[in-house]
Amino acid sequence: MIRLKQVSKIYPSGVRALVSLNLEIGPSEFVFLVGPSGAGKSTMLKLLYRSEIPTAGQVLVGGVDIGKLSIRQLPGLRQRIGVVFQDYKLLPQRTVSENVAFALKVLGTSRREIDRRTHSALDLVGLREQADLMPGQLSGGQQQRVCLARAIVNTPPVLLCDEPTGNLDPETSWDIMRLLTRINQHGTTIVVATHNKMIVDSMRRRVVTIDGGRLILDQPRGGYPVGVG
Amino acid sequence: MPNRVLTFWRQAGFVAEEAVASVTRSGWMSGIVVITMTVSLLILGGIWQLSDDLYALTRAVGAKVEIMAFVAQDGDTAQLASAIDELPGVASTQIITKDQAWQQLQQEMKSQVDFSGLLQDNPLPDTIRVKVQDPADVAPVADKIQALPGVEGINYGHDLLAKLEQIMAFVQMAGLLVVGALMVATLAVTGNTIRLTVQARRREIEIMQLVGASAGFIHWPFLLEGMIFGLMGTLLASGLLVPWRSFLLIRLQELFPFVPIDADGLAMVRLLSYLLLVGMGVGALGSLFSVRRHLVAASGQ
Ligand SMILES: Nc1ncnc2c1ncn2[C@@H]1O[C@H](COP(=O)(O)OP(=O)(O)OP(=O)(O)O)[C@@H](O)[C@H]1O
Ligand SMILES: [Mg+2]
Repeated sequence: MIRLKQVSKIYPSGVRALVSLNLEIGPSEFVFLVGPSGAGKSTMLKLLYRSEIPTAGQVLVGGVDIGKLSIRQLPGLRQRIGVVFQDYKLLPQRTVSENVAFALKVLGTSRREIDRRTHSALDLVGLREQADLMPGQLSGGQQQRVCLARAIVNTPPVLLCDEPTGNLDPETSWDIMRLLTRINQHGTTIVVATHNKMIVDSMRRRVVTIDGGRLILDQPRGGYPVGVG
Repeated sequence: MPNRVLTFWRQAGFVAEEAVASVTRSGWMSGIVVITMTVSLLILGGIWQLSDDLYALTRAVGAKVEIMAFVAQDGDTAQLASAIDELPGVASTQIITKDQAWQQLQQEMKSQVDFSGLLQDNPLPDTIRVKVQDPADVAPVADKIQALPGVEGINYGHDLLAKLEQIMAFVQMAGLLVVGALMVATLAVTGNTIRLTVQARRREIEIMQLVGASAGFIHWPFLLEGMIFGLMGTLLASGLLVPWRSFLLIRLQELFPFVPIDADGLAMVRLLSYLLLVGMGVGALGSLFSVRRHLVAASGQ
């Protein structure tokens, strides 16, 4: 599903965020991406949804070298990848359901289909009651779930999460992880960049550790590596 | 494929919805853009009308200029008149026979001079009074008339014409310069204000891109929003220009009843459609530039 071949990313500032990284992630896999701050986790996710392009190497998603996509082909990729952000990136002047429906509206989905999918996405994340509230009226965990609902409403085969529990208390973090597990059970490939030791340790999923832009550990059923911040 | 057509119409609906919602949502920002637009269009329209009127005025005065062609004693007046009529640029000719001229002169002078016995023979030549279509043509037409056989001499208002021509050229140049400069200024000012509204919505642009909206599609709500600003600005400007124009025209006609100012509604309609075009064009362009920046920034290129 996802494949990185000798991928390096050097930012224009000269920072080497990723160095000759190789990684393969199969369909329906659930992968934690861990490493100290500045290791290159967010950079790797950005390469996967082509918010950044690699300086060297290839990034393949569904067999397509996405570094070579033209601007015209980019929307096709983005429609197949859902992204959850630490800062939610919700539209503050729209209701919860409008925020979720937004992802479908821009694609020209029919109104009935939009309503149906928005409802089921909000049901899944447990925000049916909050559908008509504004994001500002929600707690952080609820906003994170809205962001999640928006990311999956188009049922993309790949879901990328950048510190989805970064701002949340342990209980809410677990809610989010349970949701991700359920989504993963439906066949969605999920990559989660996180610092949350407790969660990584108890989920016993594949853990990929990067440090200084290099892959240093890849455990099939791992925990949070010792000595990593 | 009907499916694609459906998708297109739903997206068009979305664009319209978003554009209108955005105009109302960003309340005071929209207000500022519309006011900027209105003021610029007002000045633009005002200058436009002023130069139009001045031009019409100089033309009207110029149209009063006539060429008097004096026919030689042995010339055939009627034949000469029809030859002049054939000349390009000539609007009309009128023959004043020497007898008519003589009578007229006698009548005008009657109170001052007693002609009887003073002059038995009529010393005046036949005269052809020529009107031209365009006052700018007076000089060349006059030259051509003078070159015709049988024409003894001509007379027309050299100095007045030269002045009028200067004024017309100046009005046209100045009008063009001012209108051009104003267009640029309008574009800069409204473009900048629109940029603020687009900046306030960069998150929207970012999210549209993230969920896979095409770049072309993302432009549309903003383009339409810019055009709505242009439309509103034009409407407001018209609401001020039209009454002002009617008032001004009435005053002008009172002051100069002899000047045939182009008072028909057609000129106004033409001006308003120009303003609408400029307003919507400037709005759309301003939006386009601002959106483009954000698009390029967020596509990883
Ligand atoms: N847009 C950018 N321009 C320049 N340098 C950047 C940019 N984004 C990230 N970097 C640098 O690249 C390196 C990797 O950053 P990245 O955000 O990928 O780390 P991270 O693993 O996500 O860290 P954190 O856990 O703190 O989120 C850092 O040194 C960072 O300063
Ligand atoms: Mg990060």
